[in-house]
Amino acid sequence: MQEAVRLREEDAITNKGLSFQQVIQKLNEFWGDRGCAVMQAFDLEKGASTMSPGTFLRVLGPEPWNMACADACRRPTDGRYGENPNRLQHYFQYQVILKPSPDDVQDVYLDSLRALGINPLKHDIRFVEDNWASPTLGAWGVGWEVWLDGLEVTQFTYFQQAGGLEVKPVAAEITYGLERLSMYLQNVDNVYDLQWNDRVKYGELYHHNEVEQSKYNFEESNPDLLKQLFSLHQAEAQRLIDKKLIMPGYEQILKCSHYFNLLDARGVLGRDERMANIIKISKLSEKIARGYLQQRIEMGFPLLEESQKEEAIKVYREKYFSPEEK
Amino acid sequence: MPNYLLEIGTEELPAGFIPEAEARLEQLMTDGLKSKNLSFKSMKTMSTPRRLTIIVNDIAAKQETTTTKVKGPPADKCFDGNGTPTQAGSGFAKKNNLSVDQLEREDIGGVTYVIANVTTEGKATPEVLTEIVPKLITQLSGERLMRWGAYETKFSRPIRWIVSLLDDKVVEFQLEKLTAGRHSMGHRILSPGSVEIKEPSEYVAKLKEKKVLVEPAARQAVIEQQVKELAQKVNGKAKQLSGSLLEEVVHITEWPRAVMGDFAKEYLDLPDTLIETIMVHHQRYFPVEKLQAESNGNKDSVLKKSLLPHFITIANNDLDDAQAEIKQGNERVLKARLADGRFFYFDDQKTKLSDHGTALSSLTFQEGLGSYMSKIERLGELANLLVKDTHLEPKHAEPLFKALTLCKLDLVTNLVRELPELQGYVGAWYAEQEGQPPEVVHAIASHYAPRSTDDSIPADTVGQLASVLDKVDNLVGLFALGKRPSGSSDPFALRRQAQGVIDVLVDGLKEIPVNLSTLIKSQVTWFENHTTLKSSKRGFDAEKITTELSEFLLQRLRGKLLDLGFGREVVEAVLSARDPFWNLPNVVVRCRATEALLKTEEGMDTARAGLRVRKILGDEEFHADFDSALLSLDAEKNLIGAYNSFDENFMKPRMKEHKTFHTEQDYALLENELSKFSKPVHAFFDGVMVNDKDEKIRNNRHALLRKLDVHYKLIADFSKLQSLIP
Repeated sequence: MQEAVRLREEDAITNKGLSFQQVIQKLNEFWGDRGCAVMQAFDLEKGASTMSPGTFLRVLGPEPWNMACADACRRPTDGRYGENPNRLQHYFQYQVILKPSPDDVQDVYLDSLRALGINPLKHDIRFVEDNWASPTLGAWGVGWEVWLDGLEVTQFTYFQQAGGLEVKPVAAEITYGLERLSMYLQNVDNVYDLQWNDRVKYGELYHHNEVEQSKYNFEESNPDLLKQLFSLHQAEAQRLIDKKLIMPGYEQILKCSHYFNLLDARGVLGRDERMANIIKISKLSEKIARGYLQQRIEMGFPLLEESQKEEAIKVYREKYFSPEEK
Repeated sequence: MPNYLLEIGTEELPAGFIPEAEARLEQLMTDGLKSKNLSFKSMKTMSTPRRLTIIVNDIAAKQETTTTKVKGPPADKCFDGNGTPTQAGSGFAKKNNLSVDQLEREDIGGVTYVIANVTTEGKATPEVLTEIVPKLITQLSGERLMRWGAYETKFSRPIRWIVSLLDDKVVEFQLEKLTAGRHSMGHRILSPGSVEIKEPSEYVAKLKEKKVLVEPAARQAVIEQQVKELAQKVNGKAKQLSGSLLEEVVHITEWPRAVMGDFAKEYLDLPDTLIETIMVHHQRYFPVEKLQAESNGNKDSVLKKSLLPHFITIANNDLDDAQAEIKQGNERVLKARLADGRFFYFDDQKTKLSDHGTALSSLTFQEGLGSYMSKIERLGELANLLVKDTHLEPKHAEPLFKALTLCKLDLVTNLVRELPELQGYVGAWYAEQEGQPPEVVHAIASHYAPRSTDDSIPADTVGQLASVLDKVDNLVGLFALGKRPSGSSDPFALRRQAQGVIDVLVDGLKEIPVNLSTLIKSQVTWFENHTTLKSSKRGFDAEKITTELSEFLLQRLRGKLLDLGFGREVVEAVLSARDPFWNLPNVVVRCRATEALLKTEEGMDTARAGLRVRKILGDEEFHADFDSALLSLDAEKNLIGAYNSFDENFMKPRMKEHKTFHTEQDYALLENELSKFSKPVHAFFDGVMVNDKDEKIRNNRHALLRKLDVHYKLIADFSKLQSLIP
């Protein structure tokens, strides 16, 4: 096994400049070999892969969870009409969750860079303090930005809290910025010049999308409609939470969050309104987190080792069900 | 005597945490050893991003043997009339591992008690260390502590190994799943894997073999030397090679090597501060400047161009093979950032600065306090007040008004949105390009100063004035919203802003004494009349806001005076004599005057007399008019005589010439005059019963003393100096 890994790394090193899709393939292979469920992208809009259920919900509770996934993200305010070589309103993150965080997690991460052909001996790799907090998700963690010769290529976070609940055991979240990493590997200065494979460039696939979406995000979106949509999804989220339909309810929250981001891009939210909306979303997120955990308790923590189930269910039931819910 | 080595091996710690953690480690170890009666000669702490280390030299081999006296029950409860031990007596002896006849007796407060002298044999050092060290590790607190994996322990970053060695022996202990041992770790990339430490004395050398310079001072020396050499190669010198950037790069490397990179000359069109901010704040690079700044005609310009197209980064990898890649990678990152900055810099200037007004009206200053546009209007009104109050000359007043209308406009530029830490500078650059006069331009840039705790106050007078007005407005507004700092939480940096106000008024505006109380009052009134706050649930309590903010500022002033070296009593005496915010430079002068007074015998006597007067008057509110006809005793007549002569010959002539007390010489004169009261005051107190039975006489005597008190209080409230006056 180790020999196989070594050979593959050497192969990667000699194979200069992986294409964008090869980077994803290499990472899938690398993390798949290390016990991660290699998932497909979650099919709703979100500002970061952290918001996909595979991260936000799965890090809750006592169950182990190891997952990897290339996930598309949208940040409408970062649109630049395709004119900025480094900034996009639609881009890809490669998301890895390791729960509980292994003792050698940093070394494994460095191995993943080796798998991409980055020999740490030939570069300056640094773990620079960076703490993360998401008010809308009631989540925070501490960790680093990983610098590769001064370029931030990865966010590395030890999740401490999500949805207002303590994350225990702690999950390590490793988020690679796929475009930056690939630009580094392919030695290009413009994201649109990236080779997606050996025939098609990133620009061919996404440049026009950036132009049009930027126009929509900043000029053509209908703020009144967006506000209505926000309210509708908010009410629907609440209705579904009350019915204990956690996944559908969570998807409604993601919709709220996306419409909030679109409103933000139009600059039509006053500071108060902005904060009020953030609070609305965070309250819903906290309810969902609790609801999800209750579901897992009722399902008997399927991913937990058999010997630990009984005790964990008892402890969690005590803590996360109110007397009337029991 | 043996030495003890403790190394806490971690994942990369935050650079800001390391220095305070080292200090705290030393403190906790000292306290721990002392509390366990373990003597030692000295300690030394060291650190890298991946380890906190302490070596204790010449630690005792075992605890000192101690004897403690334990008080038991009264003797008559322990022994019956025949001297036979009772159950209580034998029980007490047994509890302390003594026989009954080893008990002693002692008289305590008239009762005889039984006493046990308990000797505790000292434990061996390893045993004691095993007790104190694990606790000490978990007590190394910091901001934002974390958990990891399935561990319960909280620390700044995950702990991965522990070295614990007393000479060549491991002092074993467990920290959850971790067992302390003798294996440290080498450089994560250059020399990975563990390294065995035989004993503390070889620790530094062993780690050096594994590409870790464990002493921060050693890394700093390497960095400084290499950075200087690289800068010299391009005929330049490195900037910021001291202070927080240097400290940070020391704490993010284990085996540093300086690498120089270049960027295209075209970016030198940008203001130095823009380039430097990108380099320093975002990339931790040292900028390189020309050895001698070329004079480009306008030395007052905020668009100074003294940088060279190079930067120096500190890599944590010294392999020659790696240097080309490291250089190229960093160059690319910097280029992308500079290109962004340049785009915004030129794009912003397509709109005139003053045309951003509309955008500023929709930018909220604070929820409940209106927009930035209304803040600018408020600052204008406040400036009016200040100009009138200080009789500010037009050469300062005109640029002040102009600067205040322009100083917040850059908040809506793209460059400030992108790099918020450049607020103020950006406005200044654009204002200069648009031909604003230098006084205005400088004030726009400097009015945010001090921007951090290690920043200084604005260097220019107009900037100082604008800085005070802006900060007073921020402070009053946020206090009105109930957002005063609590504990370690100070999200609006109000402590720094309050300190800034005090520092500017004390150190900067010595020649233009600004009445801080008036400014606060005016802003409180403004908010009371104009904002939606008064209709909120909390209501608007003008008095509470004023009192809380004044106390908040007073704390900063007190701290500053103590830092200047004045004694605590002197500071209190000066501050409580009258409203210190009326004139802050005057507060410092009066502190000096008070200290000078206490240096001579004669001055001491003046203070003593002032103190006697002050004490008998106390806080009484009742004020009777003075009537000289009611004086009967010689001592009181002598005193009023002395006062009248002081008033006629000293005070009145000064007042006629509008001479206030301003300099230390003024106060020396006053002190000299006041010293003439000392004898009559003491004679008065010795010979006159001040609090006479007759209310009229009593009140009259108080009125006489009040005349004196007012003048003592021109300097200080001497009753606060009691402990200094023999």
